[in-house]
Amino acid sequence: MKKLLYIAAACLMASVAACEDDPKNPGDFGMKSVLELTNIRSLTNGQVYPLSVARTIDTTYHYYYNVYDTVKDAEGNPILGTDGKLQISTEEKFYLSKITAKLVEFDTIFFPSFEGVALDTMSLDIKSNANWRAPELVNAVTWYSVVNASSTGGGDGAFLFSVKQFKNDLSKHIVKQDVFTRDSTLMFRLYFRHYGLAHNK
Amino acid sequence: MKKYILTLVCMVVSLAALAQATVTGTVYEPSGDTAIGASVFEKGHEGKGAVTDIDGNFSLRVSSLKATIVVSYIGMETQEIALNGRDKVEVRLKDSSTALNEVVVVGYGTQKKINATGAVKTIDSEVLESRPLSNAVQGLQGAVAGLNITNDAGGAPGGEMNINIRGVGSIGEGSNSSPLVLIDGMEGDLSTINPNDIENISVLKDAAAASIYGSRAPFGVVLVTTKSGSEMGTRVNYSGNVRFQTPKNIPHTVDSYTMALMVNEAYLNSGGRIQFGPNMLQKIKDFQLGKLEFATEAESPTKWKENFQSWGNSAWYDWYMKDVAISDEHNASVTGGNDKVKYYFSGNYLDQHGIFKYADEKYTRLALTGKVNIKFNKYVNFNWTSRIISTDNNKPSALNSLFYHNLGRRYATEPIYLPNGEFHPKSMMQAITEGGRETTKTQQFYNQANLTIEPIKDWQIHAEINSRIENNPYTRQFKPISVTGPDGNPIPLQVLEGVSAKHIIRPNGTFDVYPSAGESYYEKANTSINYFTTNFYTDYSFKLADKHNFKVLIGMQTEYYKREIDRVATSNTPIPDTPFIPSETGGESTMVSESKGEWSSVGFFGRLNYNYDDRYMLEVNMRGDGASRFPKDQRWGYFPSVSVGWNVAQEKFWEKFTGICNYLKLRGSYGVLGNQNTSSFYPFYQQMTTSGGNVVLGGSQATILPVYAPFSTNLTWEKIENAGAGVDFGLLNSRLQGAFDWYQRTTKDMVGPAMALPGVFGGDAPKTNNAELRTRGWEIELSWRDRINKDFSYSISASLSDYKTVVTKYDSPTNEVRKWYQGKTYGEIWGYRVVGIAKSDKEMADYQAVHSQSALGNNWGGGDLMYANLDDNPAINEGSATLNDHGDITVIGNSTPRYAYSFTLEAQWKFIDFRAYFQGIGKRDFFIGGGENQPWGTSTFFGFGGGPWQFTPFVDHLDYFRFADSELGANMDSYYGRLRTDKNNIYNSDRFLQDASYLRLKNLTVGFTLPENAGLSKWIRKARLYFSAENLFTFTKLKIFDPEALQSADSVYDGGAGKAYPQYRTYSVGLELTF
Repeated sequence: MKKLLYIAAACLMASVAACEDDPKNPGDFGMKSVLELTNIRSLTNGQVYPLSVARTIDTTYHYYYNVYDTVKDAEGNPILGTDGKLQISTEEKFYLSKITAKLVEFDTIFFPSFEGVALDTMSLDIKSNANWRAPELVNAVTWYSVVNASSTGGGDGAFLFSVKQFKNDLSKHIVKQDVFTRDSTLMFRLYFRHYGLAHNK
Repeated sequence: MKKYILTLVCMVVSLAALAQATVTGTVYEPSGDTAIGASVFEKGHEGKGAVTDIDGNFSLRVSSLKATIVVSYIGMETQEIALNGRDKVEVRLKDSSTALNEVVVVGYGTQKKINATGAVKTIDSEVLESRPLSNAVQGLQGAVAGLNITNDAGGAPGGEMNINIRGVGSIGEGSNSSPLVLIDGMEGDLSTINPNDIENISVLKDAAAASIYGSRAPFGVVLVTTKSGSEMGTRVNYSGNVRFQTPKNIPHTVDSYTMALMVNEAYLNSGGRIQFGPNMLQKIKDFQLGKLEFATEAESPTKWKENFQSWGNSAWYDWYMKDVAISDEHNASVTGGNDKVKYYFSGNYLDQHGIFKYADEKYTRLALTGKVNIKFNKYVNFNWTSRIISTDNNKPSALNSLFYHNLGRRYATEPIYLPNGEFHPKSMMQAITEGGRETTKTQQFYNQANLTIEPIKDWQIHAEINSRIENNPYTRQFKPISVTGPDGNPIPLQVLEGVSAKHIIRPNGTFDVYPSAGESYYEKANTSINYFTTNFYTDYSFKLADKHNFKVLIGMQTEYYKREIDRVATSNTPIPDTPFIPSETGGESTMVSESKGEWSSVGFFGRLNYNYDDRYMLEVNMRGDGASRFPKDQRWGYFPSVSVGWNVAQEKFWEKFTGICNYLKLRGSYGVLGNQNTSSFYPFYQQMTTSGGNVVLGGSQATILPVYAPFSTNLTWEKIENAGAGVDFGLLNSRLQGAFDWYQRTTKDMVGPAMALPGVFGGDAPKTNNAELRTRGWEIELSWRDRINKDFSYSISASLSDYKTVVTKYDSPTNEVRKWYQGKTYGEIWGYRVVGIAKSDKEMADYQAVHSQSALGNNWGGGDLMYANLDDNPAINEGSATLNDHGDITVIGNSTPRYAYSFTLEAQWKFIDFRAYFQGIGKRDFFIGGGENQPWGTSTFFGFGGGPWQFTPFVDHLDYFRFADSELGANMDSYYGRLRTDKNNIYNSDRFLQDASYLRLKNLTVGFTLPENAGLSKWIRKARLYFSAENLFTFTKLKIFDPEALQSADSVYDGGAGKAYPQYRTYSVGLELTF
């Protein structure tokens, strides 16, 4: 009888517990990041600069980690340094990740200069379902600047940058602007050059 | 001589024969069938009885043919039949569901239910029996329509619940709208009385019923009648149960890696930087996979890494919560007596443990009751009751609302252990296990003496003297605790996290203390209460011309209440394991406070009951109360009430309907009560209380004496007007019974703010009696009882009630929508309406171009909420949050629990009984927010609560907006907006307004009663084994939280919603024996 009671109690408790739904992560791991750059248009005069793909590369990420260990002799005893403390060795270990990324490079776009337009603000229209970044250049270029707060975004949006008028014929430096999803599965590389006012003559 | 002797012998023999007679008879059920197994015994000799046989016949030896026999049968009314010389009787039983003779307990007496004109509901102890209850209040939840009991603060052992009758009665500052609880006529504590001692409970809901108690009972009365002895012979009862409590609605926290990703996202989305870089994320993963042994290391020689610098994977609720806590309760009573003396003695012991591991929480209650009734003669009756109740609540000092608050927001990356094997400081284990204990004891001693004299029939004179003496010691200790640092030296720790070195004496004399790390603190307090009350009243019932029935009652009551609280604390305990207050003079480490208060009141009351032929009833009550708590010229209040009733079913014209509806009563009432239950004993006296000032004199903080605020000398009683109407009915021979009530209660002269005065006045305007509150509501109760055959009977009962409260007068200086204002419905929730979640930056940018949300935050983008524009101003904001300028906020819901309902299913089949009790709320909106001072959500609901320290990421919170690149999976059709550390997505809004309605299987009990013909029945009169469960199932749409634990708090240090002691589900096995 006692056993029967215990079994009945256990069944009751189990049935009650089973009725409670445990919360779950509703995340859709099957949805892949999408990033499309449609075109570049001038917000100053409406001119459109189409994008033309030069090449695409699929690549797999390499990761590494450090392995730390104490320095030991042949017999496995730790070797102390001149300061009497243990010595630590570091070894980098590389491995292939499961993430495959696509890199898309575009043909160089040449922005003209216009009389009376000191600063031409451009909008790179983006279609995406992911967080994306368009980081500022490591080495600044005088005629190119990114509009504040537009260098990161989520979903459809726009990346804004400005092209400053200058007098010479052609810019010496080529701006290499990357736009990529935050998970780095899609990367776009744009190349910009700038014609100065002298080019128009 | 012989003749005389023979005659004498014959007389003696015949006398003896008369004294030893046998009576036979037959017992019939109302259906005409014979009643098999009915119990028959001579009144006063229950031990020697008989049982009817298969033909309903019985044969019983009685002491004489002048005796009275008692016939009882399950489901039937017990009948007493005076033999009057007969030796053969025929008994026709009546269904016990007949309502005509049911009695309700009213103020200073009882009334037949058919004659009661006030809104009174009496329930018997059945609702409390066989249930694993911690206290009687818990058992009353949902038992009576209009009696609202909430437990928002959680299920801590010894925790108190809130009671109100028919909703909130007052919002006046310092007022209390709880009902008066009287235990056998004296004010008592329903949460400590032994539930097994309760015979019945009456709830007096309206002024007609409650006005006899005057100013102590403006919001209703709960009358508790305890068990007494009986003439049915000595009975020894034992009941005991073992309970298994399992916590419910414990949040499921995310693992540390997921938490780190969520934190990073929240910071990035708010324009900040990630908190967990790639290396740290990898370490967290490695620790989860077991590749790393420890989750922390030295940050410096004197500090271990913690918070975002450590990489543990701790599930804090799992670590701290037990799966099961076991408690037990034992109750024994002896009852018995005869026609002269009746007695009832009981003892009850409850041993309850909490559900936190390592905390060793314990709540014990010991209750001893002795009741003796002596009937000296037919004129004089005397009752004496003594009751001792002792409770002891012992828990760690660190286990307070701040602990629950911090448990919710303890990062999963905080490790439990240090590399040296000790507990990490953030685990709070040192605080819980070694940080000192807090003990709260109550020792209540009740004595009640009641003398009733009945000089002539129907005239009774009552004299009652009641006393309650309480002695409630309290101690709290914070011991110095430490952890070993990386350099091997001890690091002192604080027992309570947060503010350090805070030692403040509050105006009420309690100490607000957060000891420093390593401080040794000991506090001791004692509360002494002396409460003494007398009641002298007399009532006389008489009839005129056969049909005019009168009952007159007049009386007086006195009360005296004195309370002293002494409190002392020291931060200098020489021996922490044996704490004591050391003797010192002028010590800086000592805090001392003393609080004394006393009040008295006297009341004169009278009641006239009149009924004509049990058809037309009139009751008039009048009470005059004088209370010391008010200024001399405001001390007296007079509180009249009148109620009428009409027993329609007693009319001649109703006879043809009696077969269907045998009971129909219409009633109405009106009355006025006063409320003297202010939180301060003497609110019209102002105090100048010393405190530490912002001035340094002579190198130390100066003590200042601020001037008191301006006050009104006209402060007086709150007045509560009650009006109501109702109908009681019984159909189908009262198998179906019910009642419907409608009521309106208006609280006038509540204390509220006066209109603002010009700034040159230099102070705030004094508070005056200038506010009013009105509650309207209704209640329905139905019950059905039936017996199918001699083996099976069942009953169903249900109740439904609703009310709405509106502030009808309030001089708000600003008309702020989140505070009180005239016209405000109690429980209003103000917030924004949400259009939706922007799916991309572009959608948000396009929306912002038309409706700027800059007033609500910055860095808006895809995944954020778009709030609706409800006014002409294109910008989204709340204006000045006043009635005239509330911008885009509007009333989005109401948090008042509406349509409270309950239903009970009971059945009995042979020796098996079954009971299922459901209770619920039909409608309730709730926003899990921080209250009127923080009109945005809390972290327990949103995961992130508007500040860098307010993180409580549960698995439920994972339904937040995520783009496709998220490592946690895309979720672009989400419930929550994207995570942020600011408030952008968590303002009070209709999107997150919760449906807190629920249906709960509150109690399920199955019992097995030993059949009478079982072998043990020779020694045991009754034995019953039962299985019972509380809070078994809950059906609700409310996310995350328990719908009964929705505490909203203005201060997060009060715990807050989801940060209170968890509720639990209880399974119990119990045994009841009667010898």
